Amino acid sequence: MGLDRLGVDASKGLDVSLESEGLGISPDLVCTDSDLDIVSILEMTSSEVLGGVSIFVGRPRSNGAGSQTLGLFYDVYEEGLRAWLSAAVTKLTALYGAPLKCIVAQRTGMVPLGEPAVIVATAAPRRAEAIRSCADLVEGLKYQSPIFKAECLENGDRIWVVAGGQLNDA
Amino acid sequence: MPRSSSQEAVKLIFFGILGELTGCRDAMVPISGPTPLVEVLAGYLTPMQATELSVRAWVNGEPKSIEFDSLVRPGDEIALLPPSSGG
Repeated sequence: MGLDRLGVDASKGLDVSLESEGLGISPDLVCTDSDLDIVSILEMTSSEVLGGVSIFVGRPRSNGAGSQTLGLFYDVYEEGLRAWLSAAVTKLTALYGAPLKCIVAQRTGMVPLGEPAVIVATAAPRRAEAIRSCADLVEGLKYQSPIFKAECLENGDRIWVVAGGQLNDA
Repeated sequence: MPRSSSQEAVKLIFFGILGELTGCRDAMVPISGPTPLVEVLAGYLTPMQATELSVRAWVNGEPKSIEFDSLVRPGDEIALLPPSSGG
């Protein structure tokens, strides 16, 4: 879904009216090693013309009984993530033909189990575009963006992971 | 490993597992002119490691991957990225 949509070269041709509204072309990125505040992120989507808001919260989870995972460590190439996000939102805006306001908040460093590690908020005039663009952005973040994470184990080890696997054996 | 703080250098930044493999977050590598990236990386990552880890290289913050035989220039900042694992 999101991978195909964000993988195409659709970096051109934004409607000038969208640019004049300041929507769809200037996503906000928050990278912090502090707790993420979902309320303040929701407030960042505030707009009188964007009636639908979709929010995704991702947080480290236990792998079940016997898991030795304490949390996830996040390393972010912030400059690259900003560039990636800008391109992705431009593509989504063109794809859905609607102004979007997109916020990505990514926590860095060690994030304990259960605490928000990433929050993605998208606002659009209507719910369908808000929900779909949020899902697309989350998928893109997962598979394409310059964010890297490792499982932090009780014994102090870190196991670097990729979507669907581990890197340490490479 | 070569180190330099002069303008005649390339800055390497290692993300994720690459920081642990190389033992550093970033490094300045002196070069005197356009130089293949693979030569700049000598002492940090072997071509085999880069291939096995599917390492991508971004230049000066641009989300455009370059090949390891591509030329880099003094003043360039090269971000070395392992595969993404998302938020």
